Amino acid sequence: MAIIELTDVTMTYGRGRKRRAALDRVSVSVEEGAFAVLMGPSGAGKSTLLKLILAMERPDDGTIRVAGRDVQRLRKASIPYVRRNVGAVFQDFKLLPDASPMENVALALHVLGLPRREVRQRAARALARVELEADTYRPVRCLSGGEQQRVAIARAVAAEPAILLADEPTGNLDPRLTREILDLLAAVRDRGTTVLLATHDPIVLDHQALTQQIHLEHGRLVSLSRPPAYLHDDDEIPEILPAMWPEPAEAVA
Amino acid sequence: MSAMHRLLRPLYSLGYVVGRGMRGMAQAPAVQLLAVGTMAVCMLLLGVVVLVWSNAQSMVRAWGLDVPVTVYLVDGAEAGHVDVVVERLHALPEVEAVRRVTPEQALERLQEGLGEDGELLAGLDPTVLPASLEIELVPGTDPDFGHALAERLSELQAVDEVAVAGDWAGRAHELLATLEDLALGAGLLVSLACMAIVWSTIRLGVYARRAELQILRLVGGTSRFVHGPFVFEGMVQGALGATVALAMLWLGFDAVHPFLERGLSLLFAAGALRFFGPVELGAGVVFGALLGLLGARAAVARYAEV
Repeated sequence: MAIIELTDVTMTYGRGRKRRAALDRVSVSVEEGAFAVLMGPSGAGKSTLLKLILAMERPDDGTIRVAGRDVQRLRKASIPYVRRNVGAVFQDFKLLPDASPMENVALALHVLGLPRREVRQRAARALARVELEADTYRPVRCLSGGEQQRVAIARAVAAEPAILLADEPTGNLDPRLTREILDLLAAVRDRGTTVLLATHDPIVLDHQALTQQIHLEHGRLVSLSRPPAYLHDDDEIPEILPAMWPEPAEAVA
Repeated sequence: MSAMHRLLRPLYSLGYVVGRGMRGMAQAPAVQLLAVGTMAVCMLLLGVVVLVWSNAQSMVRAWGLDVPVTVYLVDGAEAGHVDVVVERLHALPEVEAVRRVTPEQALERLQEGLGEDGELLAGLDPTVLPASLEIELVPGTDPDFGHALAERLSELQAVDEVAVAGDWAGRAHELLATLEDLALGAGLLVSLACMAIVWSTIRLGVYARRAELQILRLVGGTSRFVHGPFVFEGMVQGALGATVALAMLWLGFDAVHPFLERGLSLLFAAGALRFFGPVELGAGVVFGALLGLLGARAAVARYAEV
């Protein structure tokens, strides 16, 4: 059964001559329990697609169903309740830099109206799942890029959502950390959460846990049997690769 | 999730909202102090006007100026006769209201009017005071009508004596009306000023915690949950501002009122100056909190929709 279903979704940004289609009649479905990867170069429309699933944006056309609910038809007041069921890991992590990992993860649990003790217990469990210690009081800004990424994942899975969206979760990491993060996401999937991962990092495609690949280019869906040109174009690969693993200090900053 | 937990969920959320609101205030103590201080000064102005108005009202009542015509009844006046008098008075278009005052009520009023000295009347038989009828006239009635009415009433069998307040009763009413308008105007201005202060402070808080608000939205925080700490903060600011204002007003009143009572002893012969009672004080604090709530809600509606 499809847990995420986009049908003929079109989304444009800008007006007049600056109008640009971020997504052009894209139809995609992700099965429940899948570990899906959304591939494409920068500007392909991956982040836009994730934002639409999270109801952060509204499409110009088409329908989006998330866990059986038509996201466009939701009243504004109902959107938070959908988001509680869709965890998200953002490219820039969206963490509170001066708060501890525990405090960051706890935010996702406080919105559920849980008692303080349960919030702490569940946040500690989520941190343990990403192999971080719950009792560290160091602010997040003092952690490495990889650790920050883990905190972001812990926050996204703390409420045990049905879906986990991850936007370039390996974008700032070296190959070893990339594999670790992918293993973590695979473990999240093994616990029953559907994972949709957006990336331009070809290393991700090697991971054995992947069950579904979706390729986007210039806002359009391209088939898997016809891999996007940038994966094989030797001229373009060097432009992509250096940006993938900057020094940890840069990642932290 | 147990039924009990579902029931308690709003309470847990409220706990978070209150805790986060307090931490938010503690993060910027200078801004909070400035906001509460400015609100306190604004509310002090309002408090002074309301206190003067309230005392002027009491004084007018104590002097009997609020009732232009008072009909004192003879001892043991028959109820039937009194009913007839009341009925005839009600029939006059110039008469707005007629109130019956029993000797017990008259004694109670006298005790109230004497303030602390009211205890001197303890144990006094109320029947030493006559029952009376208090007649209020329609505003704008010719002053001569009161005298003409008094003449006609004094001829009645049940009536012992009729007292008519002079022209200055009308002036006292005009003064009261002016003070009332002043209090309303000050109330409106102060309300707007206080809401603007809270609005401004909350806006700063929203900007400072913008990243946190965005995250709360993304992890499924409802508007009420995201706005809650700021609204709580505004309410606390308003309540604190009102409390400080009332405390300053009380200190000022305590220092000034002996001199006023001595200097204007003639004016206060029929009663003492009074400060706000517990209910009025409570209403003042609630009013402050309400202004804070409105100011904060306006700010979060405008700025916290990240």
